[in-house]
Amino acid sequence: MTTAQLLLGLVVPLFSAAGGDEPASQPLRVELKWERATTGQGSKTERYRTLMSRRGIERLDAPSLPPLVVRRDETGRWIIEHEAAEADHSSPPVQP
Amino acid sequence: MSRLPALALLVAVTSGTSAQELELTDGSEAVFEVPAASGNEEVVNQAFFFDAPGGIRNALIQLSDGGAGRDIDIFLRADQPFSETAVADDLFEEADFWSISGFGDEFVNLQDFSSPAVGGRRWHVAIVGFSGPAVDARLSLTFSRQPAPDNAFEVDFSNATGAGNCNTAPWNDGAPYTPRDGNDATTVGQARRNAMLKAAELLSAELSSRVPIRIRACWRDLGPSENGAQTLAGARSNRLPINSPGLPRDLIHTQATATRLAGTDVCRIFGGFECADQEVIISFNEQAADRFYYGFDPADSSTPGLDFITISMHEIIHGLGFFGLLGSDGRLETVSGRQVADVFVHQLATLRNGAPVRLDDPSLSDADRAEAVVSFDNLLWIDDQAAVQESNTLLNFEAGLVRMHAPTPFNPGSSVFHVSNAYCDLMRPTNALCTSESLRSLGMSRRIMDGVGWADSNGRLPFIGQYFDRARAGHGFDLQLGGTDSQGREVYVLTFYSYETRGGRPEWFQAVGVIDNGAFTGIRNADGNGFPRYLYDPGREPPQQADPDTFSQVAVSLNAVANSPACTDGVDRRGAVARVSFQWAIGNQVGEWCAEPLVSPATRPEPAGDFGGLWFASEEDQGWGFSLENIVTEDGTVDVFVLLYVYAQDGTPVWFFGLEEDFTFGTPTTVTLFERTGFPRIREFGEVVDTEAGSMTLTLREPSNEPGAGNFASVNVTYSEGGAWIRDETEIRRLSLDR
Repeated sequence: MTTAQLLLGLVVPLFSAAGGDEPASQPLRVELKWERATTGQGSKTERYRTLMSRRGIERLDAPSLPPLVVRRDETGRWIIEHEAAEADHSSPPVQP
Repeated sequence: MSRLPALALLVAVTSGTSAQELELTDGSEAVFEVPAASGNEEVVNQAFFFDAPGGIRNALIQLSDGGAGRDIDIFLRADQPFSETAVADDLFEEADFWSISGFGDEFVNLQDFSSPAVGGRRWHVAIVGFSGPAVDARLSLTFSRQPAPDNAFEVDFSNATGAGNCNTAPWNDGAPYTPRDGNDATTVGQARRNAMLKAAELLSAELSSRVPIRIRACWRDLGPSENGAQTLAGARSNRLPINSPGLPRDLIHTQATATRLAGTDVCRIFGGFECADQEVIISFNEQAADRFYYGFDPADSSTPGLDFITISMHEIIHGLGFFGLLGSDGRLETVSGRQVADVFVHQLATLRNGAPVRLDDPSLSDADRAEAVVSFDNLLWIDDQAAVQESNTLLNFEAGLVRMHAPTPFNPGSSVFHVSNAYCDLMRPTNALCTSESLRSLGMSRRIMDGVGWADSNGRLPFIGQYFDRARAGHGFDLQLGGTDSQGREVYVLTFYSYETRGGRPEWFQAVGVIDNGAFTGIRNADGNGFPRYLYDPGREPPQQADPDTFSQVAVSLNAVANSPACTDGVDRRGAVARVSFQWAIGNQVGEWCAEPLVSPATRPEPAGDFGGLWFASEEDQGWGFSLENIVTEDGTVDVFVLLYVYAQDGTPVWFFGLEEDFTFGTPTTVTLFERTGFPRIREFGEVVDTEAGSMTLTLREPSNEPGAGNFASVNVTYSEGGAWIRDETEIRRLSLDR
């Protein structure tokens, strides 16, 4: 197909990208230079928790939307919708 | 598997310093010893780095001690090396991503939808070994150009973490079940599990994640039927992270979103040993267990019971991210003494003087937000990518934005975190008045999920240049890079050539916009239009001014393309270099097309000789221009395709096209131009009629954005319905940047 046919017809792209898979190479053993450091007291988990807090990383407790409730409407059809609880859910609600 | 050749690990020592630098390449694997450390001692290595090419969608980096039991962690930093003296504490400060479980088996997916995106940059790797004996470890790297696979969700029916108040017995109920409607189970327990897995499968077709999102599925006593109403099910995110790797700064996200964007699982993001922690918890009411219909087909009036699959999908979506922390009082959440929004509320907006303002904008008070959430029609989703959809039946209201559910009075169960009842999709507040089939699909809510962390890409568009849709050949658009904005984001110019609905006369539209949440959208002008046509009057300044009377907007999205209605319309699109969703709204018309590059990037000249892009004359002669594509043929000559964007006698926009084979650069070369009459853009497959209309002579010496480079154009073309566009040896320059 010539470029003219291609573009004036605006039908198909000219080429697909070429290429193919090749087998992965073998692992290479390397000698690494390591730095040593002595850290303060406390477990890694405790240290990481402190470091995360320093970066503003937190995991908040998650409230849920009120659950789905089924009821019949005035025409007798089954309606499924989230229950309209009295409490405002911006305050963490009780998990259903 | 990447198409890039798998290269051996390259080892080099930087001259002049003692720093060791080891380059990882796609498919490579390094084996090394992690030396022993004791007590509070740790060992750190920062030798490895790799260059991620611009086109890749994922880089998976894995570190393993082969089960030896040593606690080792990995940190990754984009663009800059870690500080030379870094210990684990410093690595934490500087890293963009990490995998820090309590084990010796770590992994991170660096992805095109995370922040920072994977491609086109150097990544630096640091490894930390905590106390323990010396072990051998392996570090491997694999690039992928494929989108995330369609198996995003895993369901835990056995309460693997032993969480309380989770009854799993109903999943194993041995009572007989008669197979029906696609569910071939023979016991009730199996039918329930099959239906739950089907819900996860249907969601996987719409939402992707490289790290499996785990759903803890439980049954609980949620109460009997009272006054004709009974609780069926509820779901929530396990936790709500903020500022974990890959997340936009200072916005609360669901755990599922945090997992997806961090590219690794919960215990590897937050450290620890609870690697089985689920992202989403869903609970069904034991006392309502007999009321459900477990067939795979959507329930209708003839099916016994309530549609378990649809109910499960709706609740899981809430747990994934269709959820936020905003109630009737309009207060935002307080974290560490600061008011912060969640990512859902961040995308909500309300109109102020006709312009949308985000609900977490500092200019809004709690009272303003409280007013918006009960406004009925003034609680909106700010993202135009969501707005410009065929399913947005409210496109001509409230600035065209998607309307969210904001009834009066406030309903704590459904307000804010559902789309308006005006739409029929999975995330509407009730099942009433919509077909069962429509409730099984995310529909327009899919684009809302893009905005809360489920976009398929957040990087550059896969192709800069001319696109078309095979089902609408004859229409098309040209997307070019125009510069960067004050925030450093790339700004694009999109020019759409199409035809008027009546008479099929050629017309064109133009948008300027940025890419956000995986989609280009047009920046709205003062009239609220993001994709206007321009009207030309040489007697005013500037002569081209946007038509204020026709609502318009456009989005080019990388999200959910493969499974989109436009790309699954039965048209054979094999061989496409890439695919995007092209969504447009013009007046009362809305379209969603499956677009692909018109030519392969592989056929373009080298960048220094690439004349492709948008060209214009000067500030003194503005408002018109042309887009050019140059294609290197198999015999080495270059063909040039031109779309000329000018105006008819009445000032309305018209376009012409021309193709010159074996184009000669550096000397004047004439291209014959044709006027084309075509079929309405709301139709597929139609006739086009070409009529010779004149010519333009181009002298192209250098693809430069500056004047004085010796580029000139002469134009003499006549539009059949009146008007000629004539220019003589006008100096031109490229408007768009290198692509």
